[in-house]
Amino acid sequence: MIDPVRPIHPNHPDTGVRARRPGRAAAIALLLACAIGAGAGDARAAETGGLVAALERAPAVVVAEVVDVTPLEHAGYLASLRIERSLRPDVQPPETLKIAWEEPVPSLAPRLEAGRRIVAAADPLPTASIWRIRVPDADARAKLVGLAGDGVGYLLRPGMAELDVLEHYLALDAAARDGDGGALQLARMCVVGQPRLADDAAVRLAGMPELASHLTPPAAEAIVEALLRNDVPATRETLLALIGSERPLVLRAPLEARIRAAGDSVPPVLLAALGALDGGLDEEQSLELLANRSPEMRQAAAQSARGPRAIGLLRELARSDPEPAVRATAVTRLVAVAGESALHDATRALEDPVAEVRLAAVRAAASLDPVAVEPLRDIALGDRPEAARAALAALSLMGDEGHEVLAGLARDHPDEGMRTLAGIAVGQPIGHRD
Amino acid sequence: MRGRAGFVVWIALLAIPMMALRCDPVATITITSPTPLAQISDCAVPVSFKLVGAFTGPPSVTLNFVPLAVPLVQAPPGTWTATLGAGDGLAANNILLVQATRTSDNQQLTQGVSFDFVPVASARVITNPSELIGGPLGHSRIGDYLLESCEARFVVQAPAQRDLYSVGQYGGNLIDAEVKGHPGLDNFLEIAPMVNVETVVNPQTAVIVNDGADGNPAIVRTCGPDDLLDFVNPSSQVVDIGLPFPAVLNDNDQTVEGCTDFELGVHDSHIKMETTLTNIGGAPIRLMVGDWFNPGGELDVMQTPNAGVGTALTNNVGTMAFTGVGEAVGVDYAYTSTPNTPGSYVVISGVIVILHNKSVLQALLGLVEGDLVDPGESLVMTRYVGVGEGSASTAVDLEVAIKGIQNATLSGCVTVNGVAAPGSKVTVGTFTVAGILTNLSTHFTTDATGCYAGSVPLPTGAATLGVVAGRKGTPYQGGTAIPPRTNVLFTPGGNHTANFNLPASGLLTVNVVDENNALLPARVSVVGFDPSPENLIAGPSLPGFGGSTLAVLNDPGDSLPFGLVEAVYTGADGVASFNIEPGTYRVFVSRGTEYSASNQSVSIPANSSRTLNLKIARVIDTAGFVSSDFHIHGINSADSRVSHTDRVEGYAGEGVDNIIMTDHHVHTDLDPTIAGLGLSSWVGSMIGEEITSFDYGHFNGYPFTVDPSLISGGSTDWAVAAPPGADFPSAGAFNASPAEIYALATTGATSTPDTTVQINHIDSHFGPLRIDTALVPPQDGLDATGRLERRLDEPVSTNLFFPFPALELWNGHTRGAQAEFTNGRVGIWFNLLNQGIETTFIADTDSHEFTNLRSAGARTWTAASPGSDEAGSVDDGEVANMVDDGKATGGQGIFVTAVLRATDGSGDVADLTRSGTTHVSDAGGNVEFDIRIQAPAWAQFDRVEIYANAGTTPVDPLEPYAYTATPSLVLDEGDCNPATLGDGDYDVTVVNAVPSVTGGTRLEANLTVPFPGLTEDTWFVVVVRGTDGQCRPMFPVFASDLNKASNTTLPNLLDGNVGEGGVMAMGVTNALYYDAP
Repeated sequence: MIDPVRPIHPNHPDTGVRARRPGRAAAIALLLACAIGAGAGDARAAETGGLVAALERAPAVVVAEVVDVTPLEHAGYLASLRIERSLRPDVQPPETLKIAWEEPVPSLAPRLEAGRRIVAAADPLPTASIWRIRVPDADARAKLVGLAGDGVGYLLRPGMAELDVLEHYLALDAAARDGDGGALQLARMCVVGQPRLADDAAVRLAGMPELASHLTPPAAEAIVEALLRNDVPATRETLLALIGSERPLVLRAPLEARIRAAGDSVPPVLLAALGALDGGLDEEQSLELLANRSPEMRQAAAQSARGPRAIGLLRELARSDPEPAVRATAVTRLVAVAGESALHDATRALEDPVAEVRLAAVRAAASLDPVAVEPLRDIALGDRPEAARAALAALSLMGDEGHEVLAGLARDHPDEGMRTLAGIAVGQPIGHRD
Repeated sequence: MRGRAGFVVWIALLAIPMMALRCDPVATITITSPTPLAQISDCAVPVSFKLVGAFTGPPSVTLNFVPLAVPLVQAPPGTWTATLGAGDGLAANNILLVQATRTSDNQQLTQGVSFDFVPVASARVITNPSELIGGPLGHSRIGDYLLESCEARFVVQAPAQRDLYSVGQYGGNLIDAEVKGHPGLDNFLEIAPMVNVETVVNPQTAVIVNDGADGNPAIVRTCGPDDLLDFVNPSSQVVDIGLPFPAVLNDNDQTVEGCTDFELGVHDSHIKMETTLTNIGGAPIRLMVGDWFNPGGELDVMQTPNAGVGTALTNNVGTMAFTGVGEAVGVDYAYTSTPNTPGSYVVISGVIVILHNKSVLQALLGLVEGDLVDPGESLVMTRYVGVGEGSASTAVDLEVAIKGIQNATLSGCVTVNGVAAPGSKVTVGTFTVAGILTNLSTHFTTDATGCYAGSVPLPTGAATLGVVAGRKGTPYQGGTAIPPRTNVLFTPGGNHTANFNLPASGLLTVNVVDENNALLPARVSVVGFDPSPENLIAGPSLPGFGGSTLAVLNDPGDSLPFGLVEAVYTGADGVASFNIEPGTYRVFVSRGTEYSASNQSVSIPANSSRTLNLKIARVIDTAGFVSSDFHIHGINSADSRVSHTDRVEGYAGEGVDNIIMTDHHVHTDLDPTIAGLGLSSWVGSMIGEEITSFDYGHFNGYPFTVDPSLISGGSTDWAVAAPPGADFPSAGAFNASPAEIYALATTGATSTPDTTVQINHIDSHFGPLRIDTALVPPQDGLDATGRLERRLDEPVSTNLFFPFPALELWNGHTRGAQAEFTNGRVGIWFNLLNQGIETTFIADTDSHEFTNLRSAGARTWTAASPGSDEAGSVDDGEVANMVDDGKATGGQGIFVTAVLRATDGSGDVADLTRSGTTHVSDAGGNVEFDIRIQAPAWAQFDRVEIYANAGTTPVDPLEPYAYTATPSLVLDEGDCNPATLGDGDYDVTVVNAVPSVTGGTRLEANLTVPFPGLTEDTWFVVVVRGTDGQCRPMFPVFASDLNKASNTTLPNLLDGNVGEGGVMAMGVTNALYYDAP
């Protein structure tokens, strides 16, 4: 399994986090904190990235209006902030603050605009030499702060609910943020936060140590609520993954309550979540949902379908569901629950016209090593090009027997393109002439 | 961390002895470095102090109250110095104390200083030549960006520049790297961030984000739009083999801006490269990101995960190591990336194409798409490029550190008969019971002391792994045929040791002289079997496949031909001396086609030396001709790693008069190397360039000059520059057509009045452009889609065929190379001749490797004026002019010339000489064709094929882009034995060319063939060959392709090998023309 590169916002910490020596950074942060009357930031948070981490780490987090924005050299910017209030109870901010940041992609507009109301997390201005160029006057530089998290520590147009939950969260000490209280507030951020905040809060929540033990019923309610948001797909994906890995039983009751309340229009994501829990969907529920008119519902059900009767329905979905995502999920699940008896279904799905389904079939077939080797070889030698190529991919994911077959195909396949692909799969040279 | 208060306390403690010191002005201690309260930001601290007066015994020096870890040097007497580095006990605040016993009263005096040590990394613009990184591929220039830590130095090229040079097309990328204190070893070419398979970032800006003075990592950032990496075009290759290529990846100009931060920590020996690719447009885009990476130099390869060392042509990316060999010993480079399962790579023409988070195979299969990037969003990829002191284990250490992989430490030493053995190899991995390596964990090269140390990754916890060691030219431990394995139970965090003592080897010295007993450059070939052969690993593929062979100890990428244990070139001194394992061998000395060969048996006992004196002589008369290899690559080519020294010594030893360096996209001048090696009287060189379009042919231009302002030396920009961000066909930027390439090459800034151009390995030109040379005139068959796929904007009505002056019809050193000429290329040439398009035949080697002896391959002799027909006096312009004139003959083992004589009494002749003409006419249409064939005794020939307006046959009638030809007349000598007379159409004479030298003979045949009654213009070409199964192959002078099955003993190898494969002799003339009145 290859990890994807995460699509991220340009201000995501991955774009800008620099490995500083924590001790030095913490010391400088302390100086800044003293200067603006705040306590030091959370050292643990400093070692993680993201908006929430930047908010946690920053010595000062304020609600403010951007008064003006001044461009500096080398894509740097400087903004004057008129402070409304602090989101950290232990910090008394000044009335105004000058905050600086850089736009790593120079052609993009600056992230802060004059007149905007924002939440800003302030860090010490980085000591990197480029700031000496941008603000040559040392005294002026000393009066600046930096937008925390290398520029990601801000929220545009914060809503009242967002401010409320942030204030509650930042009021917690570091230990509490990794406890029940923190889990609750993070879950609420997933509910009320704008996508940047919700996505990052979900990631922070998923990374919390012993998460399942810190999810109280209110937090579970919030998570279920967040699952129902349609405007934060990444948040939902993260939360579903979290549920799949942690299997927090505390979620069962709110999920079942929501499902019952929804009647005939159960949001599929709730079924997917319930299915991911131990003992989630029962067989009858699965069977019913696998036949649901909604493709999302069928897919959600397919993800956790179990039992002998479900196999037949999964087989049907894998073959003929009009929705590719359902076919892909079905063939994956079918092989997982039926094993070798689903070999034919997996190889048949290699012929699917949609790449997403073929890729799922490739992985499913490859998991049936070594019984799938010979059937895959036959498909690779067949006259259906898409299926033949997918068969090569499946063989490449298998063990020695699969690789021996590939080597033979690299030598003997009647089609040059297939020989080349098989060669690539086993490490043969490709390339133009010298 | 102590502050100044602490310092005050220590000064107080020191006050008493310092006062005592003042009481005796005769004996004093004076610390001159560091100075009190010094703030030292350099990575090293010079320590210096003086003892004046009489002291008993040496001084005692402590740093932070611990005896100094480095030795003190006393010079001159009384002055002591040392240099402290980061690992020598330095802290942020330090106390250095010097104590010595005063002789006069036996009192101990103490002097001390306090100083701060806060080393910093540095990023700066290079302004001084002394800051440049040097070495074979040291490309840094004034104005580039230097990042320097306490351990290493890296250079990021200045942005906003274009130089068509492999991966290094654009500026703003990492181009050089070295370990501090190890200058002159740069063998790193470049790494360019891939935006979307066929595109890379074209940086237009660079800025020092942090100069490092604040103690944080130094950072340089380069930014720019996406542009095509012109020298590659994977889509056309994929389409050509019948596979679909996703349109989104194909020449796709996307709304992307890319920035790369190059970050170097104070104590890092690796650069962290973090590339952010941002969608600056208003619509979502998909990106398949990665790197185009060419380490480039004289480097062995190790990639994990794999089952051995060497280049595995595709796999997932774990870590990659590139370890210096030859002149690059002492440096290595490493590449790894995060996340932990980041993607995969494939090697294309020496360039590593890395998909950061995708499977290459699945991408080619269309099973995966690029990552979706919405407007304003970004992708980030993080990679690490390290540099070390010459062991692949650097890369493993880097991966372990970056990814936090649990590991153990292994260290040890390798000796040969008890003596330290630098350059030995140690491999750690999983072996089967049968001893086959199945998974490589790490790989070491021992340092100058013969020792090694590094991490052994243990991703799944404690494991028993095998450790083996070996050294080239040395038996394995215990004298076994495979390296014996030491099993070690590695535990996470454990420190383990494995030492090896290899048996003694022997030393062989060979002196090579000519008939005048003058030493001369030559090749020494040792025929036999290696008692300790490299343990090759077929890997996942079947035995018999080439290309992906890995090995247990040494990268098998460039290996000796079967039947040879060693092949060494003497230098100008005619002496070769090398280690060889105990055993019995036959030693041959040769110097290419023009020389005899000499041999002698030798038995080498262990731990002893043998000296042989062997004599060879020039037996072929090539007066009026000069030999060149017209197609040679070296370290400047992305797909070759051969050093300049090896190139020069190799060609001098193969008896080639003129080396025409034709690196891909680079102008290489070997003359300084030739002069430095004292070989100017034996070999010369000419600057050429292989103009390397990716998918419609390669074109050798020569001679060129060098533009020193460009790394490429002034390469021919066949891809044609475009404004930044607009180098796409969709923006109107196209590649040059063949005709335009000819014009660029012959009229460019580095062209000469004599510059000419040949099409290389011509099937790679005529095939992709679908040029049918049987059509009159030759016509391409590429439709509009095919032209666009190759980034050509010629309208379909424009004929892409262009009559280049010369065709490389035979390139290489093997049977296969000869077969390519006779089985598909020869008819292309003859089709042109049949249309009156006079084109010159060229035979050369296209050498990329060294050890496989490819440079001992085909070559071409061009006509030369008196005085310029010997090495050292070659006239570059004349060579090119003779190519244009078709006055040349090619061969491997055979030198054949021809004369076409009129019989009408005019005395007119056509010939291949400098002063002659290649055309002749005869009033009656009756001509005689005189053929002179010469070959050394070791290059038997029997078959003479004469082609006169010969007919051709397409190899594939449906795709008529390759043609064979039918000879007009074939003459057979009979049994290929000169001693047997009258058994064929002609006899071969043995000429005792140099009687004073044993074997100083040549085989010669002089034939005259009448062609009466010619009524039309007629061209004549001669091909001379030794018939396989009848004549002997030319082993070991041309050593390739000998059958293994029938040669299992030394006597087998030496029995003539008739019918047992090998390379047969062949010679080919250029065309002579009869012009009908």
